[in-house]
Amino acid sequence: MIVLDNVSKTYRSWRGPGVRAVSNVTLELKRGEVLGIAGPNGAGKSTLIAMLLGMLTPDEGELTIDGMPPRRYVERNGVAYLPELMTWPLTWRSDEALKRMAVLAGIPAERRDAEIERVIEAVGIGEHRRKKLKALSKGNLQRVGLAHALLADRAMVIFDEPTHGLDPVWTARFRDIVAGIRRADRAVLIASHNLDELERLCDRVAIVDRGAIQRVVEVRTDAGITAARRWRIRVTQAPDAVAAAFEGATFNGMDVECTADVAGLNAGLATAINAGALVVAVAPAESSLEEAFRSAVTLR
Amino acid sequence: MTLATLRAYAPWQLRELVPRAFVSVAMFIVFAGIPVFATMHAQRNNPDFDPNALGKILKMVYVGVTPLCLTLGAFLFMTRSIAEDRERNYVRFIFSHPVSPVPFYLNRFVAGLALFTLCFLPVPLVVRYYFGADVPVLGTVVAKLATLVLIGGLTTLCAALTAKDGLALILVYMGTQLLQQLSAQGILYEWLQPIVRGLPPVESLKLVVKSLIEGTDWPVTDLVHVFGYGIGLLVAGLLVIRRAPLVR
Repeated sequence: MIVLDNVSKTYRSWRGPGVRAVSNVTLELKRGEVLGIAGPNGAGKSTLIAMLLGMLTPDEGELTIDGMPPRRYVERNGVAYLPELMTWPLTWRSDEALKRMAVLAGIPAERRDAEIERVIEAVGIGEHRRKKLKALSKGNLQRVGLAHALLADRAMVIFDEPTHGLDPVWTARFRDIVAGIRRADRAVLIASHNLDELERLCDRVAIVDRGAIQRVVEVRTDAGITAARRWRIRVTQAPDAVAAAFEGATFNGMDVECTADVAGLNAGLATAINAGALVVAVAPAESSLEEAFRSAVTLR
Repeated sequence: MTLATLRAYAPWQLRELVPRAFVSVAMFIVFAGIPVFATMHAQRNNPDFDPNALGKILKMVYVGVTPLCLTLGAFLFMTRSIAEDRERNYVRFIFSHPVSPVPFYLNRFVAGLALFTLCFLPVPLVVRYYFGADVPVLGTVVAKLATLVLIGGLTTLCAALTAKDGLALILVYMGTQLLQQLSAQGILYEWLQPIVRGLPPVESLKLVVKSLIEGTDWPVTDLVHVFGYGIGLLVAGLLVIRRAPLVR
């Protein structure tokens, strides 16, 4: 559905050499897929999204959505979009803002009120519907933005930092919403700093740094699970027995950290349990996405 | 984007424009009201003062004040509209829907033109029919339209090209006015004359507005020039908006 072929974008400046915000990005997003974009601040995520919405044009390379330039695609079909910051005029009321956007979304007059009710219900802002946006908390404002993104049935969905400002309850609810909108004919793109969120929601995550894609991690497959990785093991007795079962393991109180593949982990645990250890929990010290992110992104 | 969408969204666009549209009326009330009230107050104990003179005073003040109110009103009405959509990132919301910027901004321009003209309409009507001053109603409406079309077209182009549309508009408007005045006085380099002739017809607009508000003449040629140039600027601005990035 979305094809980026060697896309680059440089912000030019009268006073200096300009900033290359996106550099030779090649990526494909198919229908039915949820793709994450992860990267530090200034990595080029927002520029990439602006180009996908057709609001910026690449200097080099080609970007197409269903074979069309993005602006033409958006003008014909629209995109469900939640931006990083909700910048609507704060004097608008929540329901009024949604009504305006429903008009622009092309929702017929006879269905407009019902659709607005549906999204208000979906994001739980019923009690805030008559409030002006300036009276809403950051989380509630973000939920109004989410309601806006869910207003119309679109084949392309873009969420930019979707859980920014949401409390843990609504962060979890957001995952259900994304699970609900996942569809065979729909492509979803989520840009976020939250790696845990991306790991739970996406099929693949593209790690972007300094304008370029450093790595694309498959998070929905078993790839990488059997590889050696760092584990955290919690015990209630004999942590030294666990540490002794793994080469190079360290322990602090009742927590042991070691490196092993899945087979080695199980063998080591069996040895430790036989030696008197009582294991309470075993978990990866960091997710495969975190590991990939850490090795792909240069610290600045 | 369908016409039905544009029609349905027009009331929202009008709501945003209403406060700005009344600026020229407020300016008229202040600029015309103060001198007229002061005159009437000063003459209240003068037995020789002719009460019918009020109409003449009002007409004099109307002719003097209205062009200023129309020009300043059009400046304040048009600037920061498109530029603000960009600056505050409203464009990201608006144009993620199946909406094309050209019909969207054209719709806002036409709705604004109608609103701006309608809001000022009570001024000549009240001055003429309530206070009895001989001021032209139709002439004022046309003067208002001509002012907004030229300044609006210029602002649209400035907003399409730069983030500081207000500053760009003032510089272009004042610069053009100065050059055209120098040209009219014959104290401009010869090679500059064709350039000045190609600039927005700011001096023609002044003459058109003056004639229409005084009710002396209908300068059709100048009127066509002003409307034509204003529409040309508007089309150029919309084409730039179509081609240029929506976000900066």
